[in-house]
Amino acid sequence: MAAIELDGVTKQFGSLTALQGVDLTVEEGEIFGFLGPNGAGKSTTINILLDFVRATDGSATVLGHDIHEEPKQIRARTGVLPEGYDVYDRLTGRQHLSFVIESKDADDVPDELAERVGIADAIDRKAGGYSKGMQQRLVLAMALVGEPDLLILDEPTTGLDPNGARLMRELIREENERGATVFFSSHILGQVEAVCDTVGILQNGRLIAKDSVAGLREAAAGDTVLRVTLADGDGTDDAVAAIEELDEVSTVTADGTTLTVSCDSDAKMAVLNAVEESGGEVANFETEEASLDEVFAAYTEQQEQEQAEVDA
Amino acid sequence: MSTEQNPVKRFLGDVDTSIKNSEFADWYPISKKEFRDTVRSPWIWVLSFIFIVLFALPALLGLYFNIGQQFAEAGASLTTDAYVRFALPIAAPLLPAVAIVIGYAAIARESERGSLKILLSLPYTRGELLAGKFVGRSAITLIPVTVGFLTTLLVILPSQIEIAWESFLLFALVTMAYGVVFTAFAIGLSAAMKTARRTMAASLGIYVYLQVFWSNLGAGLGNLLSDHANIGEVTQLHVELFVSLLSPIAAYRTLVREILQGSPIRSRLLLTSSPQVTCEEMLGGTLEMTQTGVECTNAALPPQYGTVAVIGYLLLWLVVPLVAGYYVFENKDL
Repeated sequence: MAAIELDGVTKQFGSLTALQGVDLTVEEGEIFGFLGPNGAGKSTTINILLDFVRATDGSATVLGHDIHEEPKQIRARTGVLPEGYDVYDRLTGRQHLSFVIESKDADDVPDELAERVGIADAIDRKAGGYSKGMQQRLVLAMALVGEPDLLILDEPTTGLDPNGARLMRELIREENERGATVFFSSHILGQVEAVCDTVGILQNGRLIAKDSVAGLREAAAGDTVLRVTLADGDGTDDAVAAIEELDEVSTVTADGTTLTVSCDSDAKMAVLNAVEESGGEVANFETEEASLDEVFAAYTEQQEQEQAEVDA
Repeated sequence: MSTEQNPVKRFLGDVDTSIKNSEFADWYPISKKEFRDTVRSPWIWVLSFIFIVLFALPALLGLYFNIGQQFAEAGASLTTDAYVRFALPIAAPLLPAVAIVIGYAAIARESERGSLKILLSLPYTRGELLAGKFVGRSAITLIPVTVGFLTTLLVILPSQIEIAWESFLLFALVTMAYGVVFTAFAIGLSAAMKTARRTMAASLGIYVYLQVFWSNLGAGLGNLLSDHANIGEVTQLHVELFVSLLSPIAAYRTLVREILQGSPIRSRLLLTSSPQVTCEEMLGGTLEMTQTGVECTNAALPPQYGTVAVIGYLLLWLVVPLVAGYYVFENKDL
């Protein structure tokens, strides 16, 4: 059974279309990264899954329950870190955790939860005095109550320092190993790349890609970057000219004796041969796999181009 | 463990557990959270202070200056009924304002700030959330009212004022219900409105209208119908009385007067522009002047003006805003 299943979900706010027929399946036990620029519709999707916002069209299930018919059953088995949340300033960390434990009829111990997210020292202080990062950790601890089958985390690393972000990744892995499905949204690609099994890219309310991290890289293979260092700087111009003639190459830039070439991943040898033929001598070369950032940019550009063609 | 030894704590713990285990009390943790959170607001203590001053002050005046003597019935000793007469015109306008301040932010503020998303990420339906908010905030409203009454009792007990327990306790009970009604009214609006500021404006606006203009509405409507629809004088008085009783403030006042006078008829007569016609033509009684004021004898009060009906009109202001607020809240995007 899929943990999350969206079927043609559309949401309109007045004349603005936030989501357009999104179909998405997140398998049980997966760590799913939900990527997209700000305003793409990530939070709207999450808000629909949690029944905060009602879809204009389409249907969805979470953990096998219809989102609109049985939101309570869904929430009983889901831990949520919502976007744009706020804590209760006048209540302590312990009171927050006790409230969630009681609400979910769980038997967690507040101190242990606080320990896991690193706010054990502050548990008896009022949450209004917490820093943004500590509040984030507190709400994360609240999401972990009752060993949920599904964790929905909306931009979980916003407001966290590098240590906090690392802790977040560790917790996501721990929870996943325990058996939980993790669904988290982010516009920071490094976070997603580091922990996700599967990634979906949302743009302008449409899911434009869904694949494994490796699969997405392959799909955007044109973005392999090759760095070639020449033995001496004399032949640089000739080498650049020779490389530019290759069909598989999109751009070449020269900086002293170093040439940076973006090309298809299988064009590496052709590039090196071209350099040799132009009379240059290769001292060193390295390839860089496209980061998800670049994959994302490639997807986004591709979409925009297609859109432009449609408009034309 | 100390909780095992302290019988009060153990009892409270038992109550807590049994409510928690009840099938119909899924909202209970919310009301507890709500109470804990709101009770820590310094505002509650300011309101309690105001209530202590305004509720206990008449008692103090009666005790030290014997001012209440003039209110006591001739020949009778000074009782707490005199105190109730002092306190009624204070409680009737003040308590709704306090309850609105306590209730207006209940849902709209959480929605604006984003903590509502945390609440609704937990296994609660929106209806349960509303129920939990209502119970928790009503308990908060009852704090200043209870503290006010207890202080009054403490002041009166050692004095020469005799405590008329029945009327005093009924007054306390009706006043508490009155506070809860306006808390529900504000929470219902809070569930329906977008922002806390708008909720405050709307609820205070309605309150001021009820307080200042509603008393003229019944009479005005009666006159209008009499001028244009050619209705008789008795019908006109029916319109006047019925419309007046629909205001929660008038309903509360007439219920308290009924407790003091022991008769619903006399307190209803005060709501009409012509007590004599009301008594004689509408209710078929005889108006008499007695030592304690006008008395309408041998009259029969139609059930729509009876005690049960008036309590019903008061409770309408609890039920209608909560139900309407629930429907708007249930169907809106957060």
